[in-house]
Amino acid sequence: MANALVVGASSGIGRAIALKLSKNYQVFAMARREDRLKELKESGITPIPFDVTNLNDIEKTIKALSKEYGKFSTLIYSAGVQNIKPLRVNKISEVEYLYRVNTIAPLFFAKAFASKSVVDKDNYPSMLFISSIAGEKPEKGIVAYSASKASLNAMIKALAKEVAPVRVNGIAPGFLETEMTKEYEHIYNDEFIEQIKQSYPLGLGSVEDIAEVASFLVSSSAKYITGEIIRVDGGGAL
Amino acid sequence: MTQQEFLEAIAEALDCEMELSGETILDDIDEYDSIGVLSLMSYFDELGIKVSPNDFEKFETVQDLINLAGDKIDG
Repeated sequence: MANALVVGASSGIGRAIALKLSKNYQVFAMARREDRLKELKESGITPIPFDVTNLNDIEKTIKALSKEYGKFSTLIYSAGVQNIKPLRVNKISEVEYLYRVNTIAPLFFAKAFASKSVVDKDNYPSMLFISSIAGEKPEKGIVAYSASKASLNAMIKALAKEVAPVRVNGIAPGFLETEMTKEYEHIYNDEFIEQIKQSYPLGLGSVEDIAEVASFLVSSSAKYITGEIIRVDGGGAL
Repeated sequence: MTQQEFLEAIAEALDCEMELSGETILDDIDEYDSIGVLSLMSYFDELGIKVSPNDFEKFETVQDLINLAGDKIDG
């Protein structure tokens, strides 16, 4: 089986993708929270505790994994943080952290993955980044988050040109109930979720909906798709 | 934090130049809109107080915000 690295796999979309891919790949699940990663072991997934904000350690960690377990055909970056704050209450430290997780770390994961010593060129290699509809349809109150995802979207397209034949794609989910959004449950309350159900043509989605598309995009069935950011939002951004 | 410091922090979160007091009616503050509410939520979050947008619908005056801050305000 080909090796796949899922970054941000301890919860939400990343966890769902790791579980979905574990049927066809040897999956390595990376996240900060070691206790949560261990739960994935019973699905044959190898936990790799790592904090993506340690930018200086990304390259050597990926290269060490490749040396120990073999090259990787697939990189999925699903780590992300949200920051619901109007411009006037944005703080430099919070915005820097947001960009570090949402934009800078994925760039250096891409750099490490694209290295000849890491990428498995014989197994339809590809990278997939989890973006957000906010990258395309920014909203007030999430200026920094929207900008970080728009930057990620531009990065996906530029990478697709630079690292071909390695494919690079993205998924832009709409609102989903995940641990990340639960941190803001005082905002994303029952009334908000009801509004989403009413305003999204296909209603509220699930992390498994994202995992299905992720599984397709990294498979050989998508071998002629690169530089695409696919909205999986039940029509919410229409 | 004194009540005066709290009122100044509220005014800063709202980016409001109006002088606030407990009697100020929230709907009379131009900046008390959806972004203003989000800004206040963020400010209260920093104080360790979780408050939802629905809670703000019940607030009428700045005194309600003072009450929400509770013992975070001295005296």
